[in-house]
Amino acid sequence: MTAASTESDAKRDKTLSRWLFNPFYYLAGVKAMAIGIVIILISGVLAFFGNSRFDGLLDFHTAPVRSPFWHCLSDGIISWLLLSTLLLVAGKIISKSSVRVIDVFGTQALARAPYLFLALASVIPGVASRALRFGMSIAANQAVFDGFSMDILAFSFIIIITIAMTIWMIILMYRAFAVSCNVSGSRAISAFIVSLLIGELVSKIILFQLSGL
Amino acid sequence: MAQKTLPTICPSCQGILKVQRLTCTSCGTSVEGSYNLPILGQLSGDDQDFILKLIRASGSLKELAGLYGISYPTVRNRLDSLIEKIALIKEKIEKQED
Repeated sequence: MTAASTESDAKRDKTLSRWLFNPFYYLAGVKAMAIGIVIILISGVLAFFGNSRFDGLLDFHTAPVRSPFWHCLSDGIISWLLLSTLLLVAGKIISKSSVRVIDVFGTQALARAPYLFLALASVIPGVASRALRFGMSIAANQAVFDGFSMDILAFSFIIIITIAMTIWMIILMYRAFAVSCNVSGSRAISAFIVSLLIGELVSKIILFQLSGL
Repeated sequence: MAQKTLPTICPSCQGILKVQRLTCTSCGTSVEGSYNLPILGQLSGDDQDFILKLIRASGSLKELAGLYGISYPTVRNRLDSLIEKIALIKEKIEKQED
């Protein structure tokens, strides 16, 4: 292997890792916002058909009954607007750079992309309903663990993909905050965590008020 | 052959290097003294290239972002870190002169 090919491999790996964990290096502003809003809306439509809800900043739940279409559609939009507003305020306070509103809102919209995969998983026939059935049997202390079953498989799949996509989304949200506000270090991490916690709490209250969850 | 880069930091003590001799390329006449390198000359090649491109883009960060294929805030953040670097170099020079 030549030094040049090793260098180009390293460069390609760096580019791929940037697109996965910091796409805002390449994409921000209006473009990121347009792509992000489309992704949020598609996720909402898929959640409706998959009997699911993104009922909070970092929440995903499946239900036995389908929620009204506009509830599914507005979940992502409300969460996005809320966190972007909180991070914009935090950025204005701690950043020494000039912070553009369009960059904060645009990058945060794009940061919600991992939940599209979660919404896609929920519309795979039988997955959400089997996972829900097994989850409810655990809650009622009636779960039967007798080796392999499709219900356990579906439940495990939904749990694993939910955790993985949520972690990925939090990483993207932080990177979006860091790039759009030019912040880093412990102050940035603290401001992000506080904004996320406030956002989660307030989003729950807003969505509860709107849909009576 | 790799292009030579101008060393700006002393490899021995990390102090700022100064220009001691300048030579005319056509007649070979040399001038000796102690001259500071210009601040821009003390930046890395990448940083100098960034500044040149910014000037060519008439100072438009948006245009520069398109030129590099990166986002506007990434370009602005790089410019902010360059401003910080320049301030640090200036501070170092002032300290050495005192």
